[in-house]
Amino acid sequence: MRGGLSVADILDDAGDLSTLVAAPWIGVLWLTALPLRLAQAEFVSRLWALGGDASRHGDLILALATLSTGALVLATVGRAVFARACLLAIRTGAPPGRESLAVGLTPLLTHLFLALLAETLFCALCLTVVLVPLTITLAALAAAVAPLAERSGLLAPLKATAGAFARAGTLVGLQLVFAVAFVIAAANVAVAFYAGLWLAGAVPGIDLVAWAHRLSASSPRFLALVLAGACLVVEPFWLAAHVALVHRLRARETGEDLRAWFERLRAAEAA
Amino acid sequence: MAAVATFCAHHPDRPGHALCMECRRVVCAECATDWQGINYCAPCLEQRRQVKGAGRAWPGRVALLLACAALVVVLTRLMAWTGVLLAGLF
Repeated sequence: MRGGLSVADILDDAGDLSTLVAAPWIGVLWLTALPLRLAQAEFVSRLWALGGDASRHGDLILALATLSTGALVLATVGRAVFARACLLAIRTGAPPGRESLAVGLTPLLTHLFLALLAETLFCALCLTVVLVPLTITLAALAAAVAPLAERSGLLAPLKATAGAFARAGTLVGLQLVFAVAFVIAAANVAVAFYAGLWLAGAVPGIDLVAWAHRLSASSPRFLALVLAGACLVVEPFWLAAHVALVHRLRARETGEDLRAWFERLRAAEAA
Repeated sequence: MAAVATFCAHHPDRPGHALCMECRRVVCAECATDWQGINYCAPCLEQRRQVKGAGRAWPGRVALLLACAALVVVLTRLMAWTGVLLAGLF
């Protein structure tokens, strides 16, 4: 009768949603997320290469951090459009059209606030390691909660996000599933790079030895690019799953799921 | 003296019931809403609600915008600082 809130139910929804919003909204999401992932990859690889000397290159590090933050703002706009497309697809059961672009000012600002807060907490808590999944979950819930924001302000989005955290078991399960998916995606991205290198062997004039060195596991930039690629691959499904979860939670609160179930019953009876 | 319309501006087949104090048109009983002792038609009332709602939303939006600006500055500095710290550790 009521929509389930188990990890399997949410992943089922996320799979259906991803199919509905695939064209062109996953493309929009990737297009806006690509600068962020590349900026982050460059930031991490530079830090890795500099090591203990990083403090002597403060201006470069600060410039890269500024670039990453700017790219995060752009990526948040893409995520807001994608989350709205997912929400419209859930409500109508059909692929959403251009109305997905009509993200209101309040949902956009709410999303930006929560996304920046999640990223700030990530930077502040990354040394603790165990609290990192919490900040990653907050980033996903930011995208899921924001399209439903009706009141603007600082407290309303925090309350809405805290409400979603009430379903902790499902959230933990989702993060575990997506952590495994991330590792598998990273392995596939790395294999795709190596397959590209192998195919490039057929093209004359390419310095394969230099490229093999660049694409080796000892290259920080290559590893950072692989991780960035894995983030891009997983992100649409990760966001869709959280939008589906928050929608189901909201439907339970308002009784919308019971109303929909009753309408289905009446339709079946009439038929 | 001009003839007074006695039918609803939105429903020409219905008799007029009140005068909207915003657009000064005659409206029927269904279209008229008494709000704070004054009659308004539905479109004018909706317009007033939107204006009032938009007015209420602005302080919250400004607060969100200021919080975002502050977070951008803090995040940039924190990212650079944490990055340098981690690079020194590993």
